[in-house]
Amino acid sequence: MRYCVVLCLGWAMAFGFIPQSFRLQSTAGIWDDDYDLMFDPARILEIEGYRLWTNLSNYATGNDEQFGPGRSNLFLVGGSTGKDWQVAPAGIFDHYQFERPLFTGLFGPDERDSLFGRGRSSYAEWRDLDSNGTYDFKRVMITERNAWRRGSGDDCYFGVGTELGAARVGAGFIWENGKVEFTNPEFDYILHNYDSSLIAGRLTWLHDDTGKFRQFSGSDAKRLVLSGWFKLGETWELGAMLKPGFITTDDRLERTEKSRTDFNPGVGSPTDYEQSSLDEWWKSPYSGFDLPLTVQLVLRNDAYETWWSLGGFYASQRLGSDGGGRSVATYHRTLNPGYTTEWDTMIHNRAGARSGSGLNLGLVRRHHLAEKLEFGFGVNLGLGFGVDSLLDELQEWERVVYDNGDSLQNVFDYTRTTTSAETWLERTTASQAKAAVPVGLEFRPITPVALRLGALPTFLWENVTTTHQLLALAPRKSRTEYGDGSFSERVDEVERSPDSRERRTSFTQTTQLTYGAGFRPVENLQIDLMGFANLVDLTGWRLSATLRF
Amino acid sequence: MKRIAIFFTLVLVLAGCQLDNPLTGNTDQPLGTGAGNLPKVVAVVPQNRGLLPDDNPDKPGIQGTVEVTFSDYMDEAGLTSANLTVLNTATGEEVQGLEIGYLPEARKLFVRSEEWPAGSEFLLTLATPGVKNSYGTVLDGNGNGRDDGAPYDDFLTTFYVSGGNPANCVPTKRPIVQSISPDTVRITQFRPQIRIQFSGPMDTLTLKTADGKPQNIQLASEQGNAVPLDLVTASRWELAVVPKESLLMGRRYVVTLASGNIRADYPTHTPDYLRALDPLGDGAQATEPDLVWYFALDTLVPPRVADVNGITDGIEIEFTTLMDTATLNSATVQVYDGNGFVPGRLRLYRTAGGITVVDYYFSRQVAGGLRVFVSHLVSSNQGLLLDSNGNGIGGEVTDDYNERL
Repeated sequence: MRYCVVLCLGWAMAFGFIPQSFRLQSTAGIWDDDYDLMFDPARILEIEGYRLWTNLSNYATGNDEQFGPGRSNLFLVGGSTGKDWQVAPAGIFDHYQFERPLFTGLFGPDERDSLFGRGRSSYAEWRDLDSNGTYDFKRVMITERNAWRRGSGDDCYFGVGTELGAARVGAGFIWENGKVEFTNPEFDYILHNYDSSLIAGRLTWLHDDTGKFRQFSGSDAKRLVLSGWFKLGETWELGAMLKPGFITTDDRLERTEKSRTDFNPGVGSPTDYEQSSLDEWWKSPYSGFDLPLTVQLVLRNDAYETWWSLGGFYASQRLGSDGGGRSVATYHRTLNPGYTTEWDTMIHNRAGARSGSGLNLGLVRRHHLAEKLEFGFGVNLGLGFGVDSLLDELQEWERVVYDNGDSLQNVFDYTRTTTSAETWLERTTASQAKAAVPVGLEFRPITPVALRLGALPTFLWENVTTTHQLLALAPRKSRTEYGDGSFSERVDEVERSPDSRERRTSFTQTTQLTYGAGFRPVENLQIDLMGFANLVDLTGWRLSATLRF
Repeated sequence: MKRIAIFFTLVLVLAGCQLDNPLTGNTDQPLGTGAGNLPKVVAVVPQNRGLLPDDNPDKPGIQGTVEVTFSDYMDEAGLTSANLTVLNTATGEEVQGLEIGYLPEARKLFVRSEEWPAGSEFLLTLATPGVKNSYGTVLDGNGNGRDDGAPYDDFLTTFYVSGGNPANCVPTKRPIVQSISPDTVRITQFRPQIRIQFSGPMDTLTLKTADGKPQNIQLASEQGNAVPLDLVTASRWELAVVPKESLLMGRRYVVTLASGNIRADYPTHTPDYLRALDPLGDGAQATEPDLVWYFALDTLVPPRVADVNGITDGIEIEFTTLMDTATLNSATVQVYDGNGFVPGRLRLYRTAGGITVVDYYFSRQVAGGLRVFVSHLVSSNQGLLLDSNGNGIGGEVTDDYNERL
């Protein structure tokens, strides 16, 4: 689904706080609220009075359930001034941080005792091998595993708006930062196993194995918001908003393993052991920018408002020069006599770029049909294009050394070196066309209660083509050099699918129906509701409370 | 005219159906051949010292084609008269007017003459480093798997034509040592005859001096003291010497044959570098090592492992003689199974009646087949080290007892 990433680059990054009010959500995006005005800094001046948004506003994700178990657990605070200020500021900030222990896969003495976080368990076994009524063998297995998910993030928006003659202008800044780290218990562990002879009073087998694993995913986006609205006569108004953003994402995986098995532990002779190691990392750091621009034209009168909008974006990201991966594995085994040692190195050098562009045409018509009824509809047409290409240069180098331990270098001892290289190109192109016809209404049966309904029929055409190409292939060649000075080379058979292509086209038609309610029990409190379909079960209700001054 | 055309058509059809069809490429090259491997000659027709028949008896003179097949695809640019010669070894003259052709698909080289001199023998030479495979790797003409350089890796083959004699074909390899005695064994004779047999014929002047003394052979004790030798035989095929005086019991003696100075008595037109001795028989090289071996003079028989049997939780090792039990320890007696070393405890079961028996009790459960290792450093109570290879000399690196049960 990388193409989705491409297409979404130009549109708003996922906020920690949602940039849509409950009113806007429940009327299919037709009727906005003061909260929505804040994100267009030039329109902050349209907010009447002061607003204070706290966690009660439910704008962290919009899905917190006041009476149910659903929680995002974010801290959120925000507020806005309004037209009372010559330079009106507004802003919102959220923060989250978590550290969750996960199931390690280990159990306590009772198998119902699942161990989470950093789990350590030991297992011991006593055996009477010769059936003489006395234990003569003991096996101990100590296992420690780590399983965590950790993360943190901050999202911040700050904007100011002011009037310059007939124009209102504003500027804002958005900063979004988040990271998640996963410690996989399957690869992050310490094993300490040993066997001992209770008769000889010594260890007979010792196995130590340590693994470290860290998977990290982070993103950072900084965005400038520049907007302005200009009056064109009494009823016309022209607005424009530019939101250039600088975006970086970083996905990393680091893994190490070290293992040693000693078949004669604690005694000098003979030395008999097997050991291996693995050092592996993957990096996929992308950085780039996006440049969304929206121009809006508004016609207002007492009976209705018409909003025309034309938007476009361009986005581009490149993979950092350290993108790719490396894996180095070693193995050594004493053979008594002789030994064998192996090295295996795989290097992935990657270069990649993603880009996307799009165009959006919109029309929203809002009618004040009656004193207690407001109705609106719109048409939205969008086109988007994206390309994601990744060049992967793979090199493999393997060496095996074998010595039969007879102290003579002859044809029975050898060093075998194997090399191979491949270059692959993965390329995804995507295009998307979208049409939406939203309708929404707000009805106030009694003051100060408002009921809201919305419907958002959407038609989506998508076309995604993915190709994999083997651009270059160096033969998998092995050269064996024998102890007597002779050698042989061999080119191994290689089987690949050098070319594949997938094209997916789809058409999706959906209709999203929304509803909500709002009321102001007192002048300083605005309450909005969503998710209250089951009137006798408050669990799923979503509530937003905004303080007004 | 029409009948002649039909006849030739039939001949061509039949020729195309033969098993080894030169018109179609043989692409059955073994997988992996190529790259940096040294190319070799895998077949030659006629074979070495073979008869090259006249393939067109209706025509005066002798016409024939020598066919050389390589292990690899060759660089055609190197297969020219600059790197290919045919010497008439009966006259010493190089054959002129050869037609040289290479069929890449079949990896075959064809050398043809329309007028081979009758009653002659020939030496065909493919010279390195000019002859290479398509990767640029030089020919391994002597087939020893190593790049020995020119002229040691030249490929040589001989043939003769009607009226010639295969016995007159010149050798294409250096002479080698076919046998030696006593060869790394224990003997009991105080004045053993030391014999070396060659594939010959050898130049006896390189085996003995003018006054009848052996040369280019030396006998010395293990400590390095030279022992004077008397010549028994120095023929074209054999050199035999005997120590002037009795050797000492319980000692090892080292024989050194100075290979670099020993030469063959080959026919006149044999390439000169072939006259040197190839003591190890591993193909001609720029520098041939001396041939060195040893033997021991002793009447005492070194110890051996007589038997190994499984017992409850262990094994029992029986030696052929009484052992120095101090040398039987965890460093010299070991047991391995499918998982590796099996820790254990050695217990002297018996050391009487002329034999020693030790038990090895395992300290852990064993899995998979057992392998018993007894070092060549264990010794009998008379100080003789273990002899497992059966040559009567104990304590050699190949004398470790290393057997699977």
